[in-house]
Parts: sequence; structure tokens; C-alpha cells
Amino acid sequence: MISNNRIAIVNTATTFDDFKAKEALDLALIFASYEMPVALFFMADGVFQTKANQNPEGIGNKDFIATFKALGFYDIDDIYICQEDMVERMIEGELSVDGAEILPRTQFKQTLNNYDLVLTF
Amino acid sequence: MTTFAIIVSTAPTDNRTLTALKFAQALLTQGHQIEGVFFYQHGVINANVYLQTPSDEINHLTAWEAFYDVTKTPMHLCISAAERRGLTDSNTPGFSHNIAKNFTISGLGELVVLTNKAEKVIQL
Repeated sequence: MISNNRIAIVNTATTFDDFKAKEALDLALIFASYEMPVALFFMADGVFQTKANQNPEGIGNKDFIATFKALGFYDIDDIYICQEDMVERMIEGELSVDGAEILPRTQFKQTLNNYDLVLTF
Repeated sequence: MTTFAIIVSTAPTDNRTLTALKFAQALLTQGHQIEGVFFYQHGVINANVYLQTPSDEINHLTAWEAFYDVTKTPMHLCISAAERRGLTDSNTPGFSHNIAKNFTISGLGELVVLTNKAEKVIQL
């Protein structure tokens, strides 16, 4: 019985830490384009990716975070952010993702446990 | 018997790359089946034919090549991740094909296929 049907992509790295965030996003979009249910999770330093208006041009990077706004077009609607990790890192104000659920750590973990395949970046 | 897909995300300089290889070998020894190994992120560097290591250290390129020769486990390489890291399958002027022969040039779509085929997916 194949049961890798529900996929969670867990982001734990800052936006421009290596190339993790971009390669995680690319993979999420591919899964979605094959019509497989994908959810995005942001925890630890990954919560930095959820901040809007990052202005990465200043460090010579493309603003791929801006494409988070288009996740809905790919039917990626399940987006979860760890509340405690946001608070610890003082992430507040406008978010780079639409319709995200900000969950306390316990609930965040419970939600993640519902997924068949967890890939961490 | 369980079917697996393995994702290798780490460079040859990362200890986890050897863990991935040992894990793959152990699975086959125990009678499991590997649908494929997918090299993504820095994992693609393991396919560079120019990888060199001192003679008393493990060369991850030759180690994976030998793994393929013995087991014929498909080894897929994400070409867009690879090109970003200096690998090419092109021989046009200015380029020289430097992806080792036992790696299949693929895209992320192949990873989707593997995750649909395998009962368990392991990311290292």
C-alpha cells in the first residue's frame, strides 16, 4: 500500500541560507503540479521566510519569496507557521504567505504528524 | 520486504552522504528494494566525474558508481540543481560533460514518480 499521498515540506532555514528555501519551494510546486496534496510548514529559522517585503535585491538575490503569494494558484493552501518560533525571532507584521495558520508548537507538531511524507529543508 | 526511495541532499564533503550510501546498502542486504536514489540540493555534487579525494579517504563518486555497478539501483540527478553547481551534460564549446555515467539525468518530476512508487521515502 503506497501511502506517501500527503506531503509536508518543512522549512527550517532562513530565506537565503544556502539554497534550501528555493529548492524546497521548487519541490513543493512540482508536487502540486502533479496534483499531489502539499502543505508548507515553517519552523525554527524557517519562520524568517514568512516575512513580507524582504528586499533581497540588496544582496543580489532574486525575490522568490514574492511568489509565495501565488501558492494558492498551485492549490497549496495548507500553510503552517510555528508561533513560538515567530515570537522568539520577533517576526511580526505583514506575512509573505496568504492564509497561513499560526499554530502553537504542540498543535504545529500534531498537524505535521498527519502527513505521510515529511521532507525537511 | 518494503520498497524505498532515497533522497541524497548532501555534498561529498558531508558525513551524511556516507550514511545515505551505507543505509542504501543495508536495505538491499536485508532484502528490501530501492526504487531509486534521487540526488538533490548539494547531493548532485557526488556525480561530478572530477571529484578527487586523498587515497586514504572515501571517494563518494566512485563509491556510488560501485554501488550502481553491483546493485543496478537507478540513481537520478536533478539537472537544474546540478547545473547550478557546475555540472553539465553538454559538450558544446566551453562545456565538458562531467556527470558520471551511472547517474540518470532527471528532473524533480522523477522524484514525484519515485515517491509514488516507493512505500517509504528517506531523505538524508
